[in-house]
Amino acid sequence: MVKALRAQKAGGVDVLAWDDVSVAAPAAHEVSIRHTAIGVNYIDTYHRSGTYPGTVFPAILGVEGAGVVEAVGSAARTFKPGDRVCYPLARGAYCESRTIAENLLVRIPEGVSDDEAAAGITKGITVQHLFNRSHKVRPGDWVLFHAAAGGVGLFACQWARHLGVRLIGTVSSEDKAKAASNHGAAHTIVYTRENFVDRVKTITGGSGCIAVYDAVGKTTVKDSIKCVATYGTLCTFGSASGPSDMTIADLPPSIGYTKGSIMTLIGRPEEYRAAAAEFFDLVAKKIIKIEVNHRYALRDGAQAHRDLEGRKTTGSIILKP
Amino acid sequence: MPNAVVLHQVGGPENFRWEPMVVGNPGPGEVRLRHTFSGLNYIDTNFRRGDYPPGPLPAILGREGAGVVEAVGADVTEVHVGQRVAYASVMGSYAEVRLIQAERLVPLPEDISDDVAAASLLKGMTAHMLLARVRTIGAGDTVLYHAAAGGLGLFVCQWAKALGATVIGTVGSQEKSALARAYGCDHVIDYTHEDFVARVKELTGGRGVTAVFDAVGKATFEKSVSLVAPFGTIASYGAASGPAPRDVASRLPIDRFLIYPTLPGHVAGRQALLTAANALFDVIRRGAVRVRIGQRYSLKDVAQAHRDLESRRTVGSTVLSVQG
Repeated sequence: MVKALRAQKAGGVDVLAWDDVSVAAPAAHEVSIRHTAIGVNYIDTYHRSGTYPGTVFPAILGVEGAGVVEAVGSAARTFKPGDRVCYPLARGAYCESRTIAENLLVRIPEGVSDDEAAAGITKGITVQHLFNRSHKVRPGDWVLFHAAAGGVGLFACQWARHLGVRLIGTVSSEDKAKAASNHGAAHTIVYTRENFVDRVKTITGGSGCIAVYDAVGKTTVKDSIKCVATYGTLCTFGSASGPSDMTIADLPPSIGYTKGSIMTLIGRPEEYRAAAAEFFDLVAKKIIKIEVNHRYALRDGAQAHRDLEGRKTTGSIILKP
Repeated sequence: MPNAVVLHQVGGPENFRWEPMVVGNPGPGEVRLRHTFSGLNYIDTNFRRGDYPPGPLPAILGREGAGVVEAVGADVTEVHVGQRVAYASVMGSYAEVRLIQAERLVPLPEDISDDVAAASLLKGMTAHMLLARVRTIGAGDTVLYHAAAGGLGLFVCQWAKALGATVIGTVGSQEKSALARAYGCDHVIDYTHEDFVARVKELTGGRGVTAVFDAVGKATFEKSVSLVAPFGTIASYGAASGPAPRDVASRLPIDRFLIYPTLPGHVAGRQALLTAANALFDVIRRGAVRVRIGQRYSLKDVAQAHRDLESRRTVGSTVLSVQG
């Protein structure tokens, strides 16, 4: 038996309980790992509260983590006991140990800590996916990125700066504008007091952005379309829950539309691991900094949720078993 | 006085009238052009019926033509008097003489004849839009093209094949099947006999295709979406069976690309126009794309040309010749 933080039912932080759970031996294509760090994402609070459907209670929350391989299944070939690994988007992370499909794991390279890997893997491959597959960005391109001071957004700012891509970031406050700028955004728009469509037109000299990345959704998509250059791409992308549920009813002529999701990537192990390797390389070189600003003991996960929902946190949060 | 085919109200081909027309002198940036040929395109029938607004009536339809520059207005640098030129995607080609913005004209090289230009510029630049702008098609890609034996289909299928792609075409008859095969298709599906969804899945080993180019619209679009592989593209740019549903965006599967491309967007700006036209002339010159002129009519018989096009009696491109 190992310890796990489980939501007994849908509800507030008080539904989280420190339980004993059993860990199954790895099946043929599975691996068992001992967690060293577990990422906390806002989506976890939705799984806890029942806002997002599909949670079976009692539920071990959490969708990303890092750890050490303890045992491998009979047909698992990629990893061996002792390897440092991490994964994104696999529910059931708030526990000391777990069993997981080998194809979901990626190796953590030298120069990247377990804490960084647990906090960064999902956001990192998301940005890699957006900038390479959803729309291949090139030096000098104008792109618009909503929520640029959010977790994914700050990675995007840093990655864009590294590529020579001119990222315009929308944010909700002056402080966040400063954070996005410091991380590499070429321009920031405080959408609470400025019309971002007009500002994008002005900044780009009327041409618009070749790619617009929108994970905000209903309130922004219709205006986001107006920011896309002819034959550019509007990309909506979901959170850690998987596919985006954001929609546009009507697509104007000569604008490409795609719903970016790393679920496709994760179904293709070679591409997936290459994407993760590209991201970790930038982390090891300090081109992308993962700011792990809050660490809690795993059993104190309820406090992490309280602080996250109370907007008391900045940067990434991890739980330590 | 020169004549033109004038549409006084939207509806059937009988609404076309052959009438004399006053054409003034070209203003700044304009050219007076004497047509040698006008092209005929399926979209002309959409404008005639009023599916798309033809502009203020009476209107002169036709979106493709070739001819000789007769006079130039002030500030025209792109072309000169006596030069052979062609254009596409500018309304008003069903006329002996017209005025047109000089920046929309493509100078014709010596080895591209007027009738070939009038038969190919709109369809060929549309093919360039699909294969180079909407999606960069190359070796290893698989393309699904609906109505592969249609006027545009022959261009897209040959060009895609020349780029190294595997081309799957759908057609509506046995005769068209042979034609599609002769013009670039590796696989042809006669949808009157076979379920094209099942066949495409079989041909691609269940993976789907890199790109679906769908100008059929309503009748095929939803099925087309289901055949696009991850990271593949679905382009809808026509409405032969009625408009494709525009709210497909809401139901688009993850990591597919949806676009409703338009030729005016593709050839906006002088450089983009010349790039597309010259790419077309190059594949024609190399023999990679053969221009099949299946029908020739006199311009004043355009009503008959529309009837034949709408009753599926035409093959390849149709040109309307203009005798001065």
